[in-house]
Amino acid sequence: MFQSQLKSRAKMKRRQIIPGFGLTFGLSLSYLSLLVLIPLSMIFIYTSQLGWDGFLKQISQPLVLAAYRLSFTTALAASLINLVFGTLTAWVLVRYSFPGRKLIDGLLDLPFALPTSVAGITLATLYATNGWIGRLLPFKVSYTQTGIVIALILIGMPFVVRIVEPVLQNMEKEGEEASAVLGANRWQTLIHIVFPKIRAAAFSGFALAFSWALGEYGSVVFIAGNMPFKTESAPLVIMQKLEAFDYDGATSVALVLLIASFLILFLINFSQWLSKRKFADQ
Amino acid sequence: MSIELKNISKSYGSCQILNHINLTIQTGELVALLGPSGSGKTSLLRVLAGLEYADEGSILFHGINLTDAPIKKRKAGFVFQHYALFNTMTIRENIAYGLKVKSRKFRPSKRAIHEKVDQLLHLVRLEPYGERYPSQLSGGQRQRVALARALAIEPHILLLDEPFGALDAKVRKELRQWLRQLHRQVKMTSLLVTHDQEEAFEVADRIVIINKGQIEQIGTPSQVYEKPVNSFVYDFIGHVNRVRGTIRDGQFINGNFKIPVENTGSTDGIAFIRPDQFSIKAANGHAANRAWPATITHIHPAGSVIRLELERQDDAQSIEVELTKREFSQLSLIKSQRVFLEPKQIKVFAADGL
Amino acid sequence: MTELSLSQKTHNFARVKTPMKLVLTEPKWVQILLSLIVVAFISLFLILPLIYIFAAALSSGIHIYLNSITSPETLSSIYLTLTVVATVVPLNTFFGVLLAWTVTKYHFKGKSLMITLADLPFSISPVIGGLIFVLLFGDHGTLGKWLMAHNIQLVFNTAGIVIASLFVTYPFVARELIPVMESRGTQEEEASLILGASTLRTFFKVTVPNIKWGLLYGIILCSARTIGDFGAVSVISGHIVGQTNTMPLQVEAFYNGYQMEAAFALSSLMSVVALASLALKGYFDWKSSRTRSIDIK
Repeated sequence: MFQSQLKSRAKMKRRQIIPGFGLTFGLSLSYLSLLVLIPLSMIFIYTSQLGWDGFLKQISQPLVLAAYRLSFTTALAASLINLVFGTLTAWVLVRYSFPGRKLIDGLLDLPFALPTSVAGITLATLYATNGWIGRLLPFKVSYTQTGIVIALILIGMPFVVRIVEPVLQNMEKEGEEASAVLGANRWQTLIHIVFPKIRAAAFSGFALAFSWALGEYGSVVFIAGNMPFKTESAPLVIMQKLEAFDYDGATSVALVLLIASFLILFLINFSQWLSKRKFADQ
Repeated sequence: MSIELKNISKSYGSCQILNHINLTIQTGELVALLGPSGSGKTSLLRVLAGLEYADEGSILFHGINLTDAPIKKRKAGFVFQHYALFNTMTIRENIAYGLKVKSRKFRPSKRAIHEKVDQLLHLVRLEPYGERYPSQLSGGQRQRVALARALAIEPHILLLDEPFGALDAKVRKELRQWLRQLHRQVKMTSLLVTHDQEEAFEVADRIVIINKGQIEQIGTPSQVYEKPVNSFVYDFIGHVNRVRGTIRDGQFINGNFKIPVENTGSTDGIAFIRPDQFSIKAANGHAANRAWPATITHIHPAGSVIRLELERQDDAQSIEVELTKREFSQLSLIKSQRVFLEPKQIKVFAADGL
Repeated sequence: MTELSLSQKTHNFARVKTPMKLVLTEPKWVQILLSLIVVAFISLFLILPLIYIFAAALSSGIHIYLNSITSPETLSSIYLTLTVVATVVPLNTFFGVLLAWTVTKYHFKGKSLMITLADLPFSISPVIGGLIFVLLFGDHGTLGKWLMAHNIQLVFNTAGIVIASLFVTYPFVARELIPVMESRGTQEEEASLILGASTLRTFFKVTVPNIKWGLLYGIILCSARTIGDFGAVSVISGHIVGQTNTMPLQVEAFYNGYQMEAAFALSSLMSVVALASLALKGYFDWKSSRTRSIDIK
């Protein structure tokens, strides 16, 4: 028993060809643990000290429930809009050529590079009732849920485009050609040949944008106006509870958000695994 | 430097890649490891180089056990199928790399390195290309650079992993002859992995046929071709016709066809006949029990040999036959003609395990 | 271009003759319509806000603008942000490269779990990224009490900001490198080892030249996120003006104090940095695609 264990361990150890595995793996794992795993586990440890009832009491406050609902609906709306426009943008950028295409392609990463607080104050003033855009609109945007959705559209814009773009680029035109030769019209070809191939990628992009939008703080805080029950999203509630030194509340709210992120991450990995298995030959 | 492999085994999970391999390579010999893809031949080469480790068994270089030695200690030259040149370095830098990375104590002077690189560029006939980058060379040239780079460190052994596999047929043929010449010049103990039998036969002193992680036969090219030891080797080397039948009373029987064989006992058997081991007789009179009646279905007059496809009249099996041009014109055969096919040489193996 | 003209020809042909269905792209008017929709969408949500930042920053003239970006608060926020970047980026570059090397050049169980875990900071809320360190180092936890007793303060100061930024930007370098290194395989490293090189030398001589554009872009991204992070830093900074405000926090402070010109002046600086990093990305992409196309040839 012991001997076989020893042997298999020796086998494990010997399998690395490039010397230095122990050192690099050890350092990477230590850093990962110290910086990410141990701190993240604090959320779980801290909430477990509250007990199940304490936790439920925290997250079932009407204010918190309203915040979850708000975060969920605004994130969903924004990422659905980004799913549609993102797929369209990817298609247009890959397949068509028009003046300014390169510029738009380059600028698409701006939401990743621009500080969220900059995006936040800019949108808040643009859409304020006396702002450049707000002035032209018959309805209020700043300090409403519409404002939150607009901010989330901006910060989630690159996800779908950047994931769908390479899939479209690497797609063989042969499939479309075959479909056309077999008598399908362009719309049928798109539905039957193109969409199935980009579906998994588009879904991943959508899910990432959704997850990102759920946790977004910087761009939302300025345009939302933090009205409890109306425009206070979950991350804003965490912040507000922290400022009131309500660590129990903040951590409980955070745990639910964290679990939501894990679930989405799992869904993305699972769907990628599924599509990889389906198109294994590619 | 001789190489000795003792009882090498390796598996990935439940998949046995190498199964108790025993092999000795003499100093200065060029041995080809020949087998179908997935036979484990590349794994064996990588185990020798230290790029993979065997689960059991030992490796001896000139009697010194190097089974667990790190890559560096083995001083093996390795040539990869896809060259693995460093494409951010020039050809000169690529070749000099192994010398430059030596520890200060063993590193030759800058001038010595320069001269060595000159020599090697001359050896692989790429003198004008020293300052170019790998991406600016053709595949055949790149593989020559890879070889020069491997030779620069004066390795004890040279390991070549399908070195010409990624090249087109014409370049492959040129490089093969060139490699043979080079080996004659440097006389380095070399092991060549290939799935191309022509390559193995043309280049190697000895051939090791490997299949499913096991050695099937070791021998000189002519031994392997003339006297395959089992049905796998027969099937794998060259074209061959397979005829199923039974072995009984020291005879192989297929329909009316009977031939004495060395096999004993009674069992199902398979007869192997190479396409050039038939004599064709005009079909007058009735078939003797040493020949099959057949109809010519196709004649390919390609090159120095004429390839015939025939269909046996008794059970419709298709048989391939090769004739020299002279034989063919003497017989003046035409399509759809009926003939008798008499095997001149036949090898029968018991069918169990096939 | 060729694709477009080809499709036009097919289209004309189809119109003149029988209705042919062999059309490999959409009709011209559809193309124009779709392109216009995309341009409008991007302009409205991306380009207009970008223009507005600069317009608002300069609305009261260049003189006020220059004054705002040289005000003591602005300068001290720039200084703090640069300090944080100078600490965070080298550390996360080192460990990001190390992680990418470990997961692409070695075989071990749990590799994909490790990649997923290392990517977590990317997918969770930055507010949570700040919260966890408040919980860990704040004065109500066991560790926090111990730290207090030893006079070590790791929250509500620069150290806290650095730690939170380390967390938030940890995945960026590895994210860029892992796909590149995975697709290149380990053959060149093997060749180097066989020729007698050590691991370290192999890494610097063979691996780094192959990944340098991806690495540079990873560093740029990591820097941009470090400069721009707001949520995590907001939580952990404790809002002490002039002392622990990074640039994004200072923007917030100006904005909440109704100093709009100052807020947008500082924003414009960060926008220039963001645009510069995008331009660099374009350059790196172009460079690496050029080397790649040479490779293939």
